Amino acid sequence: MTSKPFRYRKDLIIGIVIIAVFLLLSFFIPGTSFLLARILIMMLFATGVNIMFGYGGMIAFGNAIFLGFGSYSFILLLSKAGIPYAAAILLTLVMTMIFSFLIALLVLRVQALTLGMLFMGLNLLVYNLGNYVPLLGRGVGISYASRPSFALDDRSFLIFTLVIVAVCFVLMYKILHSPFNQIIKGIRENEMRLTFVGINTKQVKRLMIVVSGTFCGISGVLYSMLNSGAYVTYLDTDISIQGLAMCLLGGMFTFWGPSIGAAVITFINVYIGGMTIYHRFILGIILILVIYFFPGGVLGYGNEDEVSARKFIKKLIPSGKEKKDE
Amino acid sequence: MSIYLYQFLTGLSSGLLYFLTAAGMAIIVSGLNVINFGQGAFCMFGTLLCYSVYEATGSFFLGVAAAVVVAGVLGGYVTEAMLRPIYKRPPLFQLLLTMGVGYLLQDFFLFAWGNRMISASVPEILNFRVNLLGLPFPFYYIFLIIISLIICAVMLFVFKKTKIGMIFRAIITNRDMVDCMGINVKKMNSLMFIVGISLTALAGALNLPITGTQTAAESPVLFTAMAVLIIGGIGEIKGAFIGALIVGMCTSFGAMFFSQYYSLIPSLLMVLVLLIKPEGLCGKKTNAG
Repeated sequence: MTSKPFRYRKDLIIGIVIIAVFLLLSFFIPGTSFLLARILIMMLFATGVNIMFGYGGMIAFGNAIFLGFGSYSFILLLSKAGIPYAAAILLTLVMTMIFSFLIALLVLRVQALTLGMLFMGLNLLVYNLGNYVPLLGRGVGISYASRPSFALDDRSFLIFTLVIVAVCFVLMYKILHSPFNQIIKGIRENEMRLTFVGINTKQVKRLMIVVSGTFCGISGVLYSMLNSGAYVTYLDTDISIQGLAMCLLGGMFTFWGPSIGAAVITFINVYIGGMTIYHRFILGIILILVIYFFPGGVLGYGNEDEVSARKFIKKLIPSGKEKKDE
Repeated sequence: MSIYLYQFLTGLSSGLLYFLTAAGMAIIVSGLNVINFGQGAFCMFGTLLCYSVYEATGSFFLGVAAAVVVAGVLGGYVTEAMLRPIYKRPPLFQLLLTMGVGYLLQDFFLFAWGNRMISASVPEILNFRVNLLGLPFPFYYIFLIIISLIICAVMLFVFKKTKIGMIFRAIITNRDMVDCMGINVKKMNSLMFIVGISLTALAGALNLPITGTQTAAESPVLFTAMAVLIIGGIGEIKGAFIGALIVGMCTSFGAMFFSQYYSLIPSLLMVLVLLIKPEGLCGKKTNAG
């Protein structure tokens, strides 16, 4: 955290460059708009996951719940309840916040490794619900043309997505560079000491899950607009794991890292995933390579944060049994 | 009345199969402090190996033995060659590594065995029915119950009475101290991993005549085992036993009453237990992490 204004300016420039690249690509290479929009949405999702994972220090094994919840509730509100468009979006946001708060209440009853397992279990529960409940389309999902009326074709939808995602990124950046971030970092580094200072760490963690869940929910809404419907694959644990892999690949202790990971993994998914049925193989290879060669992610290599960050993961899951003495 | 007994025995046998998987996982979790996310893939490996050997030689028991041995060797290779270099790294990376290995294995199965449903009939020797309260009951389930209980007893014996079991328990309690006593903890880790994987592969192999497996789908075993572990308390073999029995019974009776939603039961139970007792039924409060 040296010379803050410079940092802000640097990240602002990066953001503008990313927007420019996306616009240029969509105008000069025809037919890429759909892919680019998907990449953007996944960037939002991955950064949302990273709020919980990289910044919050919780093992986020189930963020597909939020993505799926956002998209399903948006589509259901539109198709079954017949609520006007803008109201549906707002209502979905509020509902996602409440939902992620409830999830946070449940998940935070346990810590570290168990939290990850519980989160994944919840994800599986929700996935099964999506598979069996008639209202949710019984494993097929609900198709509904849900793009906004001014952005029906791919390119204008890309621009719409770009605007929304940019707003979300600015919000996330503000949140992650506010004094609140210092508390978050503190929790990541040494939770017990923060409780000594008088901070209700559980409440902060809850808040983090709500923030993370809300942004993942927004990405879910966008995703359902992109694909015209909510499908049960959104709830799959594969999506959650991919979100984690994106964070890891790009660098989970950096702001832009997850975006890079999202771009790479989505590209691979679309291009190579379309060619073979062995898409899990690719994900496995990526995971293993990252673990061996870029433990801090592509961007996190040699980052000043990395050393302290490594320490924090050690704390996250204590390797010995020293916890017993506490 | 007899239908309930029937369901009870089915639940008991499937619960004990869950126990074999979950116990394997519990050994790995408590010993290495890593949740083995590849466990489901190894379980499927057991099923597939048993199937192939059974097809080739006609002997089911040879298939089971082959599954246990080969999966154990593979598990040993994974720990020695892949997990061991990153023991110094944070446990999260080890966990993700097992996940990556699981993904690789899964797609390898898809490649090697093709996208299909793998199952086999019950071997001739065990393929008869016993009369229980006027209802014919397949003997294979009883065989499963007996085998699992024997393994459980052997495991308890090894854990409580032998020297290697003592070392295992010592590692679970305080790894660094065991290292200081001059025992090769890394080797022991590999051994624990092998035992855990073998147990899982055994469960998979025994499951072949019952439900078989679908090579394309991710194994549901991993999640059931995870639910069992959370219900019982992580890293507790006793907890795994109780949790597995509860899950097995509930799934079996659940399949009878709400046949449509019965695959939700393990996760629902898990959430319920966490609401009541977050550290699991047998978990100790301090060890909840």
